[in-house]
Amino acid sequence: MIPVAASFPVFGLLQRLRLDGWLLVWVALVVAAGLAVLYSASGGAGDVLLFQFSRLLIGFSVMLVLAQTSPRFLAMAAPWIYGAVVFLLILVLLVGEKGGGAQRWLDFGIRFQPSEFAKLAVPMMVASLLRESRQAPGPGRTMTAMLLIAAPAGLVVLQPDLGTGAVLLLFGMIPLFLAGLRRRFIAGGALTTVLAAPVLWVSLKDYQRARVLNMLNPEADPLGAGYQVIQSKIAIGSGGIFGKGWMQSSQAQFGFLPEPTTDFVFSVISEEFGFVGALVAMLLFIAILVRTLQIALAARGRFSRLLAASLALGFFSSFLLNAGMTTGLLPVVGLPFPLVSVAGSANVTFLAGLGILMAIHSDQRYLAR
Amino acid sequence: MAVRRHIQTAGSGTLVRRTTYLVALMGFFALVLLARMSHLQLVRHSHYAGQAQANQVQPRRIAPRRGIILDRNGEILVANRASFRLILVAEQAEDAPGMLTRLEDQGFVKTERQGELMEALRLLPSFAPLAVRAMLPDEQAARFAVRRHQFAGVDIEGLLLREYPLGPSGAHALGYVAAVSAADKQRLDPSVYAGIPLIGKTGVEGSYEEDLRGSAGGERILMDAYGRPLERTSDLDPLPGGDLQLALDGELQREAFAAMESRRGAVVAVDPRDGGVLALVSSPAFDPNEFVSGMDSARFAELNRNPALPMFNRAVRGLYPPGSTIKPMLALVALAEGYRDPGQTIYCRGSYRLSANSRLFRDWKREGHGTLTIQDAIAESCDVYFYQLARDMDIEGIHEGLVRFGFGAASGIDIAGERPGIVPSRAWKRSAFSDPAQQPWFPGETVVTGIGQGSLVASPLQLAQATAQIAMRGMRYKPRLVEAIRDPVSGRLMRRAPESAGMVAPESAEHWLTVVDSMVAVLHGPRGTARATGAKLAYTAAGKTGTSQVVALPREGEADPGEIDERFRDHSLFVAFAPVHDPVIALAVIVENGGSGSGAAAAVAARVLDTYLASHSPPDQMAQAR
Repeated sequence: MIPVAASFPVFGLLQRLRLDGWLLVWVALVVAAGLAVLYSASGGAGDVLLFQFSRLLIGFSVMLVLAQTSPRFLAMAAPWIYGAVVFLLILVLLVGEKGGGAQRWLDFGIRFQPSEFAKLAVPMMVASLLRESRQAPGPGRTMTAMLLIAAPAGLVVLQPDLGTGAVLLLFGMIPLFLAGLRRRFIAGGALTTVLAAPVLWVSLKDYQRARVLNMLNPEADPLGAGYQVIQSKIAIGSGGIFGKGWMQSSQAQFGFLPEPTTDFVFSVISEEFGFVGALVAMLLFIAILVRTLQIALAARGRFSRLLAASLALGFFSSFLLNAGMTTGLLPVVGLPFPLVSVAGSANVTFLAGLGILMAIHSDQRYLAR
Repeated sequence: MAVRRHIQTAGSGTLVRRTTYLVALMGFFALVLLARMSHLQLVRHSHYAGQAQANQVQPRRIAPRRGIILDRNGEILVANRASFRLILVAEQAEDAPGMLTRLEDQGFVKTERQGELMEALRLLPSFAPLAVRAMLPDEQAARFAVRRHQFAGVDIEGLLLREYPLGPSGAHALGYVAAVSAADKQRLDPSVYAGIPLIGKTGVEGSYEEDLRGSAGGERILMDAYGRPLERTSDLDPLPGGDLQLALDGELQREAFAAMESRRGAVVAVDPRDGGVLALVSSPAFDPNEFVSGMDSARFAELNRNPALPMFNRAVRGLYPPGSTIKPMLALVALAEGYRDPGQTIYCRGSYRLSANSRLFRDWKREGHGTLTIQDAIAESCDVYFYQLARDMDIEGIHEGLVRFGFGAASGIDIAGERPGIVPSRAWKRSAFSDPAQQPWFPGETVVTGIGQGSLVASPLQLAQATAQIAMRGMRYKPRLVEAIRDPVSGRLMRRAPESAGMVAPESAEHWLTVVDSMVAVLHGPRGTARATGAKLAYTAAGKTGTSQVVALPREGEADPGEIDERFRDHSLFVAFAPVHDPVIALAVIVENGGSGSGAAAAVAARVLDTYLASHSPPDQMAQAR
């Protein structure tokens, strides 16, 4: 890694700013291409682009600041950050803004979505909790970790936002799993889930079941959700190998594709740039995964390694979840496409996560010196 | 390598291993995603490309202009009127019930229909268009067009509606159109009716449906997801329907309907020279304009429940005993077949018996008519003369004669629903009754048939046709409402030649003269049964009164007619043609429960004749004018 950095003089400058050159290259490519796609998906609406640009600017600032911190500081700050986010999640339920049948937003002059911040705060908290012991976490610590994951996830489900709640559960479980969660806990958890799910499902009344299904996507009735996926698949499928070309997404231009600038932006990419474009997008995210995994595996200290690996896997899985949703592989649960969807809080969080990865990377290089 | 060394230390083996698991898992998901993308974009590309295309381009049918209907003088009897309606597509409106409320607040939707529309909204699939307002007034349409952007999912649609200036007076002749119903769709070729909103149901609208309909055109519209048209491509121009020119006289039709004064009954007037139907009125009637914008079921049920049967076309479907109006036809047959001579007389003493101990058949004039010829018998409407004649002709002779005047068979008029009536015979009675006790023919039945009672029934149209046949001295034409159709492509008026429908004794000129003279005497003779009416006529007409019994009244006539419940009063009939030497109109009038024939029906007939002859001068005067 270091020899490559040496081949680009500008990387040296970035190193002094404690930023990672390669990661920045891939992220910059995603962001630039994303803004171009957004311009098309919004039908050439400048205000959408301006909003996205301003949020990305905030995100990059946060990234720059976080890159200057040390893992030790982050491990100590984790409980405070976690506590603040849980407080905000409770505040959402009390005074949050309603929209689309759910209460997800806080507005302190600037509107934001605390559940997105939790996607970073929860793995940080779990990694911080598990950093002491070099052994696999015992029953007590495992229970503590589970509670720390379940609390914010539960608050988010209450909004209700089952999709983000499930993602929080996943993002919290990653560091726990990586830390060596014992096999019998895994097996027990899996068995309980497998056994309980159908029993729970059958014991529900019809209307409750409908409510659970509806909770997956409060914005639309099942018929509406079906419509979204159908139109998304039409957009993707009609793109073919090379796509219809930039600004040529008829599905988005004529309004057939719902949410073309937010949840379904990947459909627009696939329609305008075809299979090749979607493949390029996937390769960019694989590149980011590879780079972030490199950082994680090279990291020193248990907290750094756990957190870095969790963030690397979390970032890539965010891409997979969104792409799976737009292609109809997963239910429509309103998860953004990282760094491209118009989703201010989510993008700031993604960039903050990358900033933490850079801090870990700088720390590793500093210690290795 | 430095990195490797760090990894090896302090239990990080687990972390690497488990990271590897998760990376493998995600790699697997990435492969699934790749496979999915390949399937959608490579394998199924053409399918989805087609769907994307279909999303935007919607084929739409363009309704043709339905042919209009004119009367013999070019007056418009059925027109098309441009109209606007509002369509709501629930899935295109964010909140369809809320939108409905807003439309009501702004006065675009009628408050009283709100509940019905909400219900329809609930039942219809969300993509189906719902007509929330038919016949939007022009100024409201303009107001809506300006504010259209405020009403997502609501669209304004122009369409041609049918207009019937004659209103109820033309209802049974012209018929009406209604929206193509689900039942119609099952019966009809769907490709023909795609894009055609209205279908002719009855009358001329129904029977000339194919000529009037035209054929729908097609266009493709590039639309966005909100149904806003972006661009139109015309594929096929609609072909308008053919215009019809009727034999009907609009003014006469109105006048005849007015003359009925809402009483139950019918008026049929024909041009004896070619069978053209000049007026065809059934009273009471309904307003066909009510059907155009969609009649609600309650109103339709009310029309059908009305005891006066406004939906029933009495002119072609009403069957009545013709009473004495049958006498001229019987007389002609009797003379032509040699049952009677013009000079032969009988003595009428007011009643008639078949044999010494049989039932007594009374004449309407209890003291009797005295000595009369066949001409006197018609003019004075002597029943006894015709009782005797009937016996001499026998029911088979009567049957044969009347069938030649068109009774007992559908006339073949060009509207649907006609009923043939009954001309009794022994064979008819055997087939009509299943009970052997009812099958034998009794001599008394022959006697009453002689004065147009008993089983003999005919429609007003048949009576008018038989009268026209007398006017033409034997020649009868098939009755028709439509005289010509304008070809929509060439614009040429295609006239239809008159069709002969039957001939009776054309060689017996003197017998025709005898019968016609006797009918002139009905109106103009000193003892004519309609001399009061005839005295007011400015021209010479021939006519015959008739009374048909509704129920068997107390035979000895104890009851005074004025005291009899209106529903049990006799039907009043009158047939006539004029002018007598060059007839241009023949008609039959029936006023149900109107009492004696010289009253109600004759007055209606006189008014119709006056109206028609005022504008249609007799041919000799026309010749002078030229």
